[in-house]
Amino acid sequence: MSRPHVVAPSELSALRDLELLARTTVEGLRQGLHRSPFHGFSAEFSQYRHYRPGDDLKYVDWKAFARTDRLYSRQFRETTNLGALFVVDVSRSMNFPETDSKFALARAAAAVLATLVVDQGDAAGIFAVANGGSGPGATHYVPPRSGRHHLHLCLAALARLQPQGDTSIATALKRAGGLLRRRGLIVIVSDLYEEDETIAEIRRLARMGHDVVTLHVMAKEELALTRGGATQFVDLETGHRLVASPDAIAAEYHSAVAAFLARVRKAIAAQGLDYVRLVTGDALEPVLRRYLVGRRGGA
Amino acid sequence: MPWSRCCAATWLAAGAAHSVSVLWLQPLAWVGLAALAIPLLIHLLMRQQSRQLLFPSLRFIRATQHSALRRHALSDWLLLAVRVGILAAAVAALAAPVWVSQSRRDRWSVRVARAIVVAPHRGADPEVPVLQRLIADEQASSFVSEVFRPPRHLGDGVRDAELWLRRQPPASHDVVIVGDLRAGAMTGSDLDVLPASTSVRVIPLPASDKVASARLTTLAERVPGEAGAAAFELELTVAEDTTAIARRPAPTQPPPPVTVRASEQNTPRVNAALRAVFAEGIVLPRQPRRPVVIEFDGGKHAATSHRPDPFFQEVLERLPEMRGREDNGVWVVATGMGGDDQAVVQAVDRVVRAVTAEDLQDLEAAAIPRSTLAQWSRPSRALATDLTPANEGDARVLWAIALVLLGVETLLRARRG
Repeated sequence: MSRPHVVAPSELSALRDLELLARTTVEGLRQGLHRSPFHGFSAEFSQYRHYRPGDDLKYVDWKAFARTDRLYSRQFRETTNLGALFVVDVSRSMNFPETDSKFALARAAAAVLATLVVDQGDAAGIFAVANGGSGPGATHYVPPRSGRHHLHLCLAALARLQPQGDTSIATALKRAGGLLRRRGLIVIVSDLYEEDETIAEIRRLARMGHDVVTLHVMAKEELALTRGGATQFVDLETGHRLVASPDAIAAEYHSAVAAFLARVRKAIAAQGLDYVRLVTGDALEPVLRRYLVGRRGGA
Repeated sequence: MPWSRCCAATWLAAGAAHSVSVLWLQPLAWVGLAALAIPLLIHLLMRQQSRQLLFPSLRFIRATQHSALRRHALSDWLLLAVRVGILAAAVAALAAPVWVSQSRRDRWSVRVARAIVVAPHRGADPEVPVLQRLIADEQASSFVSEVFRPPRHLGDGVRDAELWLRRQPPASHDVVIVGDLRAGAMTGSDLDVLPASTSVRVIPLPASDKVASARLTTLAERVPGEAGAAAFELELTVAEDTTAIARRPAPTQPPPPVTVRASEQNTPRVNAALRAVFAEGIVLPRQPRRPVVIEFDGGKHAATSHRPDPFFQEVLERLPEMRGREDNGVWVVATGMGGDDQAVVQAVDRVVRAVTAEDLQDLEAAAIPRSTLAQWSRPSRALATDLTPANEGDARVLWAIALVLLGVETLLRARRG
């Protein structure tokens, strides 16, 4: 009988590394973050922020609108625990490059933010769908809860994840929406290659009232093709092969990727949601700090 | 001059100012340098070995056409340089280089390539012991030697000797003319074919047989140096080594023993030329060994058929209609000379002299004077500049270099997978 909560020695090592990384990064992030960067929508008024399309109209301060002719949304300090669910993309496309992969970065980012959430007294959970959820081990789900012990379970679940699934992040998001009983924070960590479906699911989650944060993980090698001669590219997910010369297609590829990134950012921003791009090889802490400071300031 | 010899000579001349020069025995092999384009084209046109790369998504990648996958720039200079070096070394080896250093030139100049020309003998057995011993001595002191025995004319043997010397390895060239050198056996012009760098020695041997006494009655219109126009008969009497000439008035005025074939218009010109020749004291046997026929057809050349005179030979080759009539005697063909009577006289003079010399040679036992032989002899010269060196095996060095480069190329390929 399998005992998923038991951590294998190899996973324990990975877990310790993850814990250490998360703890270290969170300690660093705390400096300059005096309060929780994640805000819920509970009763205690916290602050105003500019209205963004998608904000619930009931939070619009109409009096302020009458006075200033500008739309402001009211934000409230959570009085109850914020439920944050980290939906991690475990598709094979995340297993790139072989060392310092996108998945490692995604896992680290999820661990850091989960630690941050738990540390501020809120609940954090992990959700990942490996292969459509049809078989055992297909779904990795740690429900959002608070507490140090639960954080440990979350990190252990993250440590067990392997980027070998064949399910799109859109499928995981579709199921994640039903897992949270009330509005909460959903953090998507993915390369978003299933662009249309994923954006559609993000829109749906936003309409459901969830605060969706998208961590778009890209590899440096994806953003800029390594120059060279003939290369046989093998699709990590489908196994399709294609011979091309990076030297010949570099310019075209770069413009296509730039358009893709701009499209995703624009689509998410249009929902008034947060979008953060993480690139392998870049230090994680400065990027998260910049985002969290911006989020607190903008909230 | 063959192209290879020309090239070799040019190289040698260019290298004369330097201590070492290179001669190429097979310079045409350098055409093989065109093969250098092969590795270059392979390098540029060969489709690159594609590396495999696992990639998250192919949605932004467009397949590249095969032509675009070819190299358009040199990417592996070292490997290419080694391959080019292999081919260049092999081509250079095939071109058969000979390094000409001063020491090697010294070695070449010490050795002697010797051609021994035995003069044709009209008498009895020429293989006299003296001749055999002389030939053996000359061969013993030679690096390489060859004996030539022209059947009729010594000039033919000298020409063959010169051709043979050209083909020999670098050495001092020496021509030894040996035999019973009677008057008429050779002339100075027979040696004109030999280059100045070839030394010549003329060694007369006593005839093994003595010419029997003979008498030749010749005809002359006028004795040279004397006034008058009376016709005389000259009688040459040869006895042993002595030649006696008796002169007496001709009993009658016999016609010259020459048949003239010319148009009615040109016949007087040829007859006038004949008279001019005889007026100079040229004698002609009353009954020549060969019939003398002079044909005058108004052409521009003159030719005789039975002497290997280069000028006449060339004309004969241009006049195929003459070939079938060579044995008929001596010919003159003088055409296109218009009013140049002097040219006609020269042509007739040449024929008459040729016939006279041939007939006299059969009778004249007198040897060529030693002073004349001394004039014809040339001292030993330095090594010829126009030489064809032999293969000294210098290509082995280049083959060794090619093999070493081949090993390097194998290592480089193994290292690059």
